[in-house]
Amino acid sequence: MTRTDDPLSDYRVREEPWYRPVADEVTLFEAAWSARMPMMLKGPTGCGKTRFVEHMAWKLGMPLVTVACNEDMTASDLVGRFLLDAQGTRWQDGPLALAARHGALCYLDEVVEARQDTTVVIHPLTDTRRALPLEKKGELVHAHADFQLVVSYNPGYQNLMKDLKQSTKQRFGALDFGYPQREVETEIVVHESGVDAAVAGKLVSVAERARNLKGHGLDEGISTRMLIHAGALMARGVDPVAACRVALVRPITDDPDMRDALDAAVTTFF
Amino acid sequence: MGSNLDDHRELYGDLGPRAAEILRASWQEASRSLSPRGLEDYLRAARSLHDLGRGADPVASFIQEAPAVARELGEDSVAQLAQAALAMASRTSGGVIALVIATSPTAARRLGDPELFLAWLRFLDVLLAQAPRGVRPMLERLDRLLGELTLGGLRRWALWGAQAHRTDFPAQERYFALESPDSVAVLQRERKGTLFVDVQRRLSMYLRALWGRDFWLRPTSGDYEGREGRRPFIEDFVVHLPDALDDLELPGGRATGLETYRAMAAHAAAHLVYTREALSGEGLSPLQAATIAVFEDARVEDLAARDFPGLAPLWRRLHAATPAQEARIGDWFGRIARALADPGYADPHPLVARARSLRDAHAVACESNRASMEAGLALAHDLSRLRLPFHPREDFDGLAYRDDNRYLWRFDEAHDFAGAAPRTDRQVRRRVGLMEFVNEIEVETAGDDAQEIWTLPTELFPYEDEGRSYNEREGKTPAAEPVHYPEWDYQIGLERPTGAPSSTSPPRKGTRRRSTRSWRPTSPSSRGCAG
Repeated sequence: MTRTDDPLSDYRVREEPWYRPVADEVTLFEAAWSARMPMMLKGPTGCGKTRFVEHMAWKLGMPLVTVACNEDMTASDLVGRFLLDAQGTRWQDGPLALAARHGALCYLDEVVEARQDTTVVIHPLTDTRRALPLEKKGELVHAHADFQLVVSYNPGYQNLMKDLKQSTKQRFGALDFGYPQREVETEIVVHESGVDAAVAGKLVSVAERARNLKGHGLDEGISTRMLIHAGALMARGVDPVAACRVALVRPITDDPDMRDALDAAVTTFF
Repeated sequence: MGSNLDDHRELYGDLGPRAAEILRASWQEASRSLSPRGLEDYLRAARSLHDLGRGADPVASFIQEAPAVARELGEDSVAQLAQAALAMASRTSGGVIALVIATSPTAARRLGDPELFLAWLRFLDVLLAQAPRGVRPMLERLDRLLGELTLGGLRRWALWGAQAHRTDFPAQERYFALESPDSVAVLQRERKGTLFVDVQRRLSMYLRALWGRDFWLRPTSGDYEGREGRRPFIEDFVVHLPDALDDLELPGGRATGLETYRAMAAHAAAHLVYTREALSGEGLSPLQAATIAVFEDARVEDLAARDFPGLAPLWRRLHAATPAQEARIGDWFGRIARALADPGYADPHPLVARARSLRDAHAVACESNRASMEAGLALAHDLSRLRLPFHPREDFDGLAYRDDNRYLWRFDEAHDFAGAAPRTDRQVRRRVGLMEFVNEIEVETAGDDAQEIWTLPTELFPYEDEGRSYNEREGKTPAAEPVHYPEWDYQIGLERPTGAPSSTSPPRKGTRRRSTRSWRPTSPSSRGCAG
């Protein structure tokens, strides 16, 4: 199939994204996929949700259409809109319509960031109807047999103003993601950053110290992604304390006391 | 439950329109910071200040500032502030009293401890007698002064000025306004490098990051007369650290006040984390107890450094003992402590080698403080052969970061968790006799926020009872005495023997038919019991 024949060509995952399973999430996702059950991935930022979806898309041989949700996003940004060109107006499918029409995994990243009135457009796609009404175009898109919707959701950010409606939440199966166990996280840091296991273990220890401060001055602990950044700097010869300062401590907080406490925690390992 | 200001009209009605207006504006914060009883005391104190006849300013200041003091230090400090203000009335003007009250939240925030705040009020009392003209300019610069000095330092600075300018009032005013060279020079001399209140938050975060639980840190002022700070100590699970530290000049370089604070806090936290059983000091000589403490310090530091390798160098660089020090038992403790903490420290004396070998011999059992006990007893015997006098108060290892180890020997007493709990104004529940109940009770129908709740062992029926007791009328079943069960306290990482209270209500009395109706056998086993 040529690129022009396959409207999802750009969205195919051609190389295997490395993913280290931490529990039975791969098996569960495969079962959910076979039932075409919409899935919600819950967990703190930087713990591997997006990588997991990429890996599953590759494993299932499915294209992956990713949408980074934000509060300015409208329903048209998801389903599509009429555009003007030399010939007049033409309809342009949005990412959700594209995935539903041609059969892809559609991944709405941080869905809670989107406004609630935007989020409801996914409702008809996520129950037995499996259809997407394009009201402006007057078309009802019946979802392709391979279409599956996946959303990610960070419960740490939710508040009264920003939370998913129950009517949205209850359409999904959910997988909980957390920071991996110490040994697994060390293995991930080694693989992704190129540092040795001893250094990666120390980085994980620093992260554990910061995670102790979640809710006590820190909104979120140091993520696995941040550890990989710090490891990558160290692998390029940056001094460990400086690498931790740049990649772990400075990005996560502006509170001088917290920075000092975290810097001191770094020096208990490096 | 919030308290309504209008309920206390008889207490504040005479204060005048301005004070009443300020009171209305401050009431919401006051009712958040003070208990119902504290609120009444707050209003009574405002009224007493009003009755002094020193103008409206002290009253207005008190109404406005007392809630902030309560929020910083608790409501006992508000009562102390009111007492102090009343006592000052005979010796100074209403303006100065108002200034004392207006600056009290600053003092409370900078001192950070109720005892230090009380000491501050006493110091003001002394200063009013010795340098009455100096109090106002000093209070006007209090933020700067307490930003640079400890309470002890401030006291010495102020008393120096009071002595030097006892009769020269203009010079006194210039001194306390920091406008004379001698004032600035003495301030400079008394200035301490790092104040505890400035680093308390980051120390708490540091300890929480390491061990994932809360440690309570409080400042303590020991340098009232001398300039030496008091040693840290642990009491009732609270770590008391000096209120200020200077940078230390050490052979290995300069250690900042913050670094020393970190070493102190981490050492004390290591005691709290790794000491899990009591040691009995019974039958031990002072020398034996002190030697055991040296080993115990090394043991908890070893365990902490095993989890957090960076702590070992943090502590190690504060050791300065050398093989040349041998005049006192304290010198030997310093050398032994260094030998145990620093594998690279060379000390040829056999006693030091013996300390290391004893520690290694008990390394397998290092999880328990019995290891320290056995090693300490053995080494104390060798130390006694040096024939040096031992003074428990003076002979210690000389390490500024280590606490005085009272915690080791009071571990059993420290299990009085009720005393160790953070200060709260709890509702008192009392079971009283019938006559006391009838004669003394104030409000029969008070809500759940009453300061005290009295219960009777039996039901009480009103005079014209119509067969209904007070409890039935109020719709509350009398609760049994709460039963306490052990509970794991994750914040301090220990089990509280009387942690979880469980309250149960006995079933209401009723007829036999009612009780039979409510009990229906539902399973073969319960039917068997009934038979």
